[in-house]
Amino acid sequence: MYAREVEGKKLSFAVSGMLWNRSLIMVDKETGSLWSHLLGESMRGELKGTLLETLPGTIMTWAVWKKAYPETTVLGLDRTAREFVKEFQETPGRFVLGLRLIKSAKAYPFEALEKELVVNDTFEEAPIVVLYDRESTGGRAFSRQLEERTLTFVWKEGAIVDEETGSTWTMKGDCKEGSLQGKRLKEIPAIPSFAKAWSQFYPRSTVYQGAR
Amino acid sequence: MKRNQTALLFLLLLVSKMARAEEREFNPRVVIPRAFPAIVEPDVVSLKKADGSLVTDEELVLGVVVGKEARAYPINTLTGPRREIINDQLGGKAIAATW
Repeated sequence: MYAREVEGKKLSFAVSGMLWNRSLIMVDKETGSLWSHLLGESMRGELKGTLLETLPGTIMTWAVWKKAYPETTVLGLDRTAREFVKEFQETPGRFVLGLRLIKSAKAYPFEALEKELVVNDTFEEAPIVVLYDRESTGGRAFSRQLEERTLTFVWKEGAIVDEETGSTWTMKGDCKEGSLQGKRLKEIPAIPSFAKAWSQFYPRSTVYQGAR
Repeated sequence: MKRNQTALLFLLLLVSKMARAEEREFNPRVVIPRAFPAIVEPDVVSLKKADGSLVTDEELVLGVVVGKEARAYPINTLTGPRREIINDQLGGKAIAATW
């Protein structure tokens, strides 16, 4: 999921008909530059070297999405496939939640997330938390830094709770109960991706190894 | 002295070669000789209209929130070369929905 405005110019992307490492190459209609779909970077043409801003896009079941965002609108196009249902993301080893910051990339295998549900981690010196929801099979990442405080999250009796204040949080990063009620964590764009593609495009990405 | 300079030159060459090796080689393969038409700001429908027809409970969606607006892109509609990228507008921002 990307923002498609670059230096004040709105771009329209199309499928170029080219593949690179078996992954999609996009072309923008405005300059004809070629872009890697997974890197979000222009690889050839006038805009070569330009990075698109990644937006937090989450893959989850419709049942959970519509409950979380009752005001949602939906793309009004008909189906071109049928196989992308809940079980698809649960296939062991198939998916990772990829994070990409300035200097490095890190992948969180869905297998590990499925077991742990809440992962407190540090990425490029920033405290982060990765949350996974079994019901929707979706994962999201947030900063654990809230104003002056660094929070540590645990999964407690079916809820996401911070150890510092005992407040309860949602998968959307909102505090719904406790002394921090009304606060919101800053979301970090996470990229749900096939594990194989991620390691090919981010060969130096580290991989979360699970709690010891 | 001369020997030192040669060593330095060699070292510089080695370092520049290493730096180049780290650069990624962009060598795309043409599968279809021309681009597909771009999909720009397609129709969107309400939750109520989509629910149960365009998308059902167990199907996966790519969901995004910009500002106060939320939109779901059913993965089963984003499949195939004609559909892999949707150029859209959400919460005042131009976005490209793709996964």
